[in-house]
Amino acid sequence: MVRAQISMVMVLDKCIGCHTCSLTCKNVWTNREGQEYAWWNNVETRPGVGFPKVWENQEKYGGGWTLQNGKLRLRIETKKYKMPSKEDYYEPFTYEYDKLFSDQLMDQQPHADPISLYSDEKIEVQWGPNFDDDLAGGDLTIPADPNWAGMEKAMYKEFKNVFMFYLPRICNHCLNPSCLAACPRKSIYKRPEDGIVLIDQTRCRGYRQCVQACPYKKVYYNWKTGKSEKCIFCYPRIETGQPPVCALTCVGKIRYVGVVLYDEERALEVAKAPESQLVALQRDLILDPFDPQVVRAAREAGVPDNFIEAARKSPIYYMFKKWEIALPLHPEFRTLPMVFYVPPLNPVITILDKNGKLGADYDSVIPTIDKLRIPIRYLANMFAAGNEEEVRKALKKLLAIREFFRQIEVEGKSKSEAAWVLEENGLTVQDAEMMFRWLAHSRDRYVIPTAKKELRIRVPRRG
Amino acid sequence: MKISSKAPLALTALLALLALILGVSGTALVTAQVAGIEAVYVQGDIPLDPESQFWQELEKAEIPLVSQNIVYPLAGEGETRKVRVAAAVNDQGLLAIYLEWDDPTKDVPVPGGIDVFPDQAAVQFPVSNESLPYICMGTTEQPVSIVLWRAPDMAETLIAGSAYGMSPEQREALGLHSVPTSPIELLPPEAQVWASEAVWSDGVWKVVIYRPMGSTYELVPSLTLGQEVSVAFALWDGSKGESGGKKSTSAWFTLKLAGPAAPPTEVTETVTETQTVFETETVTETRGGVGLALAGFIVGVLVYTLAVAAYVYLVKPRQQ
Ligand code: SF4
Ligand code: SF4
Ligand code: SF4
Repeated sequence: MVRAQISMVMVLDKCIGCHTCSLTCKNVWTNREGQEYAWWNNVETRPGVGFPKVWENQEKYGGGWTLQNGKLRLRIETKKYKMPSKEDYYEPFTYEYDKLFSDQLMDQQPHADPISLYSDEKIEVQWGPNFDDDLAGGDLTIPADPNWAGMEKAMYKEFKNVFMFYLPRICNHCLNPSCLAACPRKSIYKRPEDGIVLIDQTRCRGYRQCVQACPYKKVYYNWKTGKSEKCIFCYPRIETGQPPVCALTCVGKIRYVGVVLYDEERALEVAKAPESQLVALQRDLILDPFDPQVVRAAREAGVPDNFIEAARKSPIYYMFKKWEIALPLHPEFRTLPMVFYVPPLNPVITILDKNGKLGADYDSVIPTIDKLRIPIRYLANMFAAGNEEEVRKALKKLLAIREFFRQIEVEGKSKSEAAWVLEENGLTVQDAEMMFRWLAHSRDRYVIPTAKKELRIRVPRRG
Repeated sequence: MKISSKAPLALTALLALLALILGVSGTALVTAQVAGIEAVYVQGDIPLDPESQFWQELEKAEIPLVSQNIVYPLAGEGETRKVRVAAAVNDQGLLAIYLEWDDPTKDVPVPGGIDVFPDQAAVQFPVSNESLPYICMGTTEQPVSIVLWRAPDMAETLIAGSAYGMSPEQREALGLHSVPTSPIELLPPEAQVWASEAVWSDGVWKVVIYRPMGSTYELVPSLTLGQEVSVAFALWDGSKGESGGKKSTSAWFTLKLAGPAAPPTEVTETVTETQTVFETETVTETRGGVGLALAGFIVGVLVYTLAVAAYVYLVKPRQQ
């Protein structure tokens, strides 16, 4: 069965860590009692612990799926795990701003103390959703990042002075969502028309098994309503062809939104793949929207023509599937996440020899990927279930594009003269131009088909 | 005759065995037919304050509950709890059920309480009283009507087993989602018949849940004075992280809704009778009616086998 999925790519090199996305999402969706602590969109500094604290550590939280004798099992079904608590998130607070205006005239400047949004009492602020921003927290938070796995202890000490990048996160609207599978009331559903994962508020009874089961900790319990909530991919906007709030307001223009077609039947099998193949096989699930057979099957499955049309112009299709420069976040959680990341290149540690020529660390003109500032291992742990080759491949292509344009702009070469750099990396001049338009100019970042309610796909009967 | 004094023992053994077999086979627990709760008849208003003298003085049936251990997630501890139950009906057609149980911690939602699980209680009724539904929230053929109370004070009317047999049109007409996707569903506002009053003090929850006996909504059973209905109970202890499937449940019990016409003597008799049966059940072995119990057992197995055979050969083929 061919299905359409609305999806997002974030180009991490462009994120400036401004948190505008988090704030605009909050202002639109979670600026109310019960969700004070919830950040459907949050931005983390890496290396760091993220929000909630060390959410990636499933030994602690029990999120996602594990493979047992070739079968997928929810990790929460295998052992008792801790529910994330206020300590893992934070106690939301504001300041006594009024005091700044109303205080009596004194020698000292008036100051506004933090007050809890829960109790209205003064509190001592210990932690917040971005307390380790820009590597604040240093020796406490940096080593606690689970993505150092497989690297030497001494290494992060060295690297902490060298690299840092931002990781914005929303719900991944997974193809194999563990939040959905964990709900005994079947309150969570994946919309058949665009794959957005939603929690039915009339059905949810606040069991919070989804909170535990989501390995990305992107379900937030609302203590006021007694029900759980999550990112809705701004579906009311999507349905009218508008980008989600976080994408629209993104200052760095790092977010790309589009549709991909995929083979629903094979999703489960892919979720069971060996770790090293998870990225490749997830890519394999995405179908070619130009293939007449795919188009026919999509139409048969009720995918409207405007979705098929959008899938052909989808930046997600090109970046994840065709060019292989985008990667899923923690594919080893086996939920098949559908928000992708173009990994950060960060500055190259350039090594020129005495004569000003590129040193031996260069592969032809492209620097050896392992000489980039961010350790490949670290990125592979984060975006490729440890498969370093996937990361190398993506970074090499990004470098090839730069080199291609450098040769044209700086060395005055023609496109055909410089094309070999691309070809070496499996790209064409046309690819390079498309990438340039998207990545550098940020044009046409959103290709969003309007909803075809009249063609609504009926979910097959369950239970 | 000597033997006649032991006949009830044999019968009890047979009943116990049937209960066991049916229970294991997932059909029903016959014990429901033998133990009872009496809803007293009141002329005029029933006090709804759980701490009122009326409820405090009323005799209560003590219902044992055990942690459910059939579906994931299991409660883990095989601990036994008790809920003390009393009930009343009145001339205005109101049914009130009083529930009281020990719980040293009062678990209610608090600001920022994202890891707080509120205490809960539920009472389950068959939608149709013809035969007993599966004790664990009914089946497709035999749904159950549930009132779920949640601390500090919320009552919801739910349906479980959710009448999967219905067509999407029928379901939509009843205000449900056209396609059932959940084993338990909240009924639409017009079918929310239950309300509650609750107090927690000194380690005890006292809860009165009440509803009008009449119902025009298909999936909420209509009750009448003088009627006997089956009921089952469930409790959740929030401090133990219980919610959803993590709960303790009881077997089916009979709730007799007294009426003004019912002579009081009859009522007392019913109560004593049920109590006797209960006691006999536990003392069967000690009194030494082993032979007869064994006979009962064999007869039980035979009856069961015959019933299964009859079902398989006579009823099943007709259904297909
Ligand atoms: S990211 Fe979490 S909440 Fe979102 S669909 Fe995946 S498992 Fe569910
Ligand atoms: S898609 Fe919408 S709901 Fe989701 S994180 Fe972005 S702004 Fe928030
Ligand atoms: S708004 Fe854009 S640039 Fe700013 S933090 Fe969010 S994703 Fe990064």
